[in-house]
Amino acid sequence: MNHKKIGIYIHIPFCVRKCNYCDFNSFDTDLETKINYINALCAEILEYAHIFGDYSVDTVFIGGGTPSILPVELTRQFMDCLFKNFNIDTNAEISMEANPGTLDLNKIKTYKELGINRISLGLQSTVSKELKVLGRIHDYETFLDSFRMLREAGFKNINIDLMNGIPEQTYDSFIKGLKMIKELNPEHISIYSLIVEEGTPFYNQKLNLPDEDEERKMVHSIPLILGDEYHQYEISNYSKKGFECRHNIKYWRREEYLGLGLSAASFINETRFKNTDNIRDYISLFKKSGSSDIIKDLIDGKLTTKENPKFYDNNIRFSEFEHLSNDDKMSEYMFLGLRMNEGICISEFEKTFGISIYQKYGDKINLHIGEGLLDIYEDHLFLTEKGRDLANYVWSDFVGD
Amino acid sequence: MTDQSKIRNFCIVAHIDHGKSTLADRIIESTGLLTSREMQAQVLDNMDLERERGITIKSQAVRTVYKAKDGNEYIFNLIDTPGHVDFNYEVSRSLAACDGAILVVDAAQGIEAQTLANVYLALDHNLDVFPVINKIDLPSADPQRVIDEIEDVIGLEAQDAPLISAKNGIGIDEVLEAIVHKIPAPKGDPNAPLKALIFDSIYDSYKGVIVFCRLMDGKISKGTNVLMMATKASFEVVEVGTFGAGQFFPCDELSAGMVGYFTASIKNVRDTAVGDTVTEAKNPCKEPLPGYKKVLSMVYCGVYPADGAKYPDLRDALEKLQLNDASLNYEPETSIALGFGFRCGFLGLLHLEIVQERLEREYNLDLVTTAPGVVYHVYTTDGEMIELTNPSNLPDPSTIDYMEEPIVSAEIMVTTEFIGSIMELCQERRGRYLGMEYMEETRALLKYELPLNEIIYDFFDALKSRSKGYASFDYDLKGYEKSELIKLDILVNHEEVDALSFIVHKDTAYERGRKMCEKLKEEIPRHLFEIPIQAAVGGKIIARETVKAYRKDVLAKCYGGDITRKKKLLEKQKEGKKRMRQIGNVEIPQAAFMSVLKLDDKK
Repeated sequence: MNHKKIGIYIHIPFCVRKCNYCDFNSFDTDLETKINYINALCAEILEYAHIFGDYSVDTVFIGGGTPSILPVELTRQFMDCLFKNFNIDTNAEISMEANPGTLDLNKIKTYKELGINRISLGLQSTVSKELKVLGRIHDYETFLDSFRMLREAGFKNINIDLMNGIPEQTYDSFIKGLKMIKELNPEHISIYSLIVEEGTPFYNQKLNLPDEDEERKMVHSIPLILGDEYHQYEISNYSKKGFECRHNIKYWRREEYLGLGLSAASFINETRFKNTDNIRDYISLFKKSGSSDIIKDLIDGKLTTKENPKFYDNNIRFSEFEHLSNDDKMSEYMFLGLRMNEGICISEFEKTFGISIYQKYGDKINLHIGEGLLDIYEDHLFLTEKGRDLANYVWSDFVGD
Repeated sequence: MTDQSKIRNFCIVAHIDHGKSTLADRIIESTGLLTSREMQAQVLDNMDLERERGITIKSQAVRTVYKAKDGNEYIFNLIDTPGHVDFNYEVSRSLAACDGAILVVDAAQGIEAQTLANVYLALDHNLDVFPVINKIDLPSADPQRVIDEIEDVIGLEAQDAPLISAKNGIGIDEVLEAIVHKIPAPKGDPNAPLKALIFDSIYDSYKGVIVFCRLMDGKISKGTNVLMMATKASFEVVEVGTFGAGQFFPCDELSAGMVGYFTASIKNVRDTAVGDTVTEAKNPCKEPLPGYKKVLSMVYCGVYPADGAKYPDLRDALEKLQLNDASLNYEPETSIALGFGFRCGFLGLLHLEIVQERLEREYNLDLVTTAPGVVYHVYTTDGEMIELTNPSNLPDPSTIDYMEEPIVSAEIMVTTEFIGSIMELCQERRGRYLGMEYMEETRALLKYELPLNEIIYDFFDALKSRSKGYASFDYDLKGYEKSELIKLDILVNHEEVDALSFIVHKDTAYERGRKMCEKLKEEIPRHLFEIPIQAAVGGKIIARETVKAYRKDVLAKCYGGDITRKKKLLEKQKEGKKRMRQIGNVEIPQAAFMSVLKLDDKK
């Protein structure tokens, strides 16, 4: 038996309604499409089981969209399929995203039964006015009900998603909300800064956004509010000790994961590939199956996507497929590793790539240390607090050329 | 020897867009040397750039054969002339190679500023000019009004002018017959010493320079030892021939009255200056042809590679371009802000843009160009005169006695409703009003003297926008005049950026400095620290803006491990950074160096 570890991401692209800031692949649809989608997803699970069936799966992350919108029978269908065809570790972290307003006791109990042991609740804000502007369907009371139900059902690992820098938000409203959340004592808190993306309803609206100074003041206050009980381990993530999200850490540590479902991204054998963004293509693809050999050869580099236009050029199966060069690997190592508060292990870089980090990136590292954005402590290179404010500026120096 | 009475050497003059190139196409097509299938849309303009901009940059010539109604075959040499004021001298030399000219006037628009400028230029060269009225099939055409206008304003007989539509092939036969009857045959002496006018030349990597010339007297053939009378260069002729459309047809000999080319393994177009006279070395003609002028660059700017490592590539590209473009000057210079580059001299702003585009397009170079300036005459207290092409080289003010700037006489033709706003524009640009003539009730010709440095920036754009596109413009260098000029310096984060300095009149310095700071504030991205942008005259700050420090640049979310998407975003951000120049610790985007060009806010 193969003891290689792998994470699995499963994408559920459905929502009750799309939020005003969301630029991800998610939408509302009818029940029939959901059924067809889950059937296709199961076919994809089966196909990959031929290739990765003997890996040991130590994390699963079911993301969206809103996975909790699915009728619970459909959730059961793909979870059963997953457990039947993959080796899921007994102590695997199995997370699912859920939105307040889509949960009920029956669903929650079923999730528990299906092996899901971590729930990520998309709250975003505790203030009704702010939730309304974001286009969220729930209010704070609904969230509280969901949270209590989860606790009662025995969920001992819960994340709460918050946002800062959203329209109508003030420093005071943010801090007050964060204190309320801390009172609830969740194991994990994610706090993302709102980015107004092109193509979202927000992009063309006049928004009453907090100014940059106020927005940064909010972010800088987070550790003070959360205190010693929580620690920041990643640019947007805070948790109690031992409750860091193991699946997400795989992304930043460049460990392998398989993405299943619409537009899901995978990283295996130093190859990044991403499923089609088109749900009709996705569903029709898995009505006929039997391409696992070809995919395996593609990942192993025995075949190229050019020889198999069906898989790439027409964007039918994969919208992206890329074998990483050595430079790509080092670049990713930097800009992904620097997301973590502990940063990059300098000796490990050299061990991994056979070249010292200074030889490769010395100028850039020194420049940003000089600017007070990077720092070194013992064997680790990491972003300072100011560096985390300007992370893109630092990261972008480690890509391309 | 070709019978001179059967040769017609002519050109077509017109205001831009009145249909010069289209008529040339029709003439070439109708004379049968080319089949319709071979015709590209516009045969004469064979550079891509020209086709895109709809203007002719280099002079060209075509030789076609026309079988006239009298039964004789006539050789037509159609010499195409550039159509922009930047190239006035080239136009004048092309005209000098002709015996007559066709004046094309748009049946709807009538006479425009360049119509007048070009027709007067043709008449100055003693050419016989006959008009044709083009675009008669336009709904707004009013041929009789235009005919009357030609007679009233220019004084040319126009009642029997062919009424044509070059685009739709109407009336072309009439034009061909008129060429035979109204353009005089050349009257040179084939037995006199060789006397030929160079009206253009191009560089060919196999044959060397191909010299375009009009033989006034004498003959030239393979083996002739020729002497260029102005440049004193002499060569042995390798090949002579005539012009197809974009092709060269070798022949045995060219003789008086003919238009053709010769090659002589010449390495550089500088030896074959436009307007120079070619004669035979051992039997020279007594006097060169009149009108030769050394070409002067009117506009200068710094040209730098965006990537400093590409400096040798830029030098090679300029060298190659210069082989074909004798009016392009360049010499190396260094800028603290931009590193190693060249100070380049051009005939005008259009010429500058064309060279810049060719460097970027044909030589694949990414360039940073500084704001263009003119040549100032700086008189120092010890009586010396310095020709200043780079503002950074201005001597210490205490050693300057006075300065002079180039002045042009400009003619602007405009419909009467816009006279007010155009006069206002000329006033703002320090223009000196000379007078106004009414062409007809609704149109007037405004005459101004303007400092050249006020029109090389955005004058043309401003003119067009303030007249809703109806004004047309022509100018000629008049000379130099004393002026109160000062150097405006720009400081970014307290460091002077030499490439952003420019010379202005003292009355407009404050206004320019203020606008420049505002513009730069828009162009310079936010940094980790606050950046003051200041305009200074002689160390005194006259305007200031501040680029606030940025506090936040983070896009943390990363759905479902889609690292590729994240990477693409970071790459895009990095691309943006590459297009910047580092000044001290401030990154300035390339566009900022041109921003001084776009300060007219009345658009």
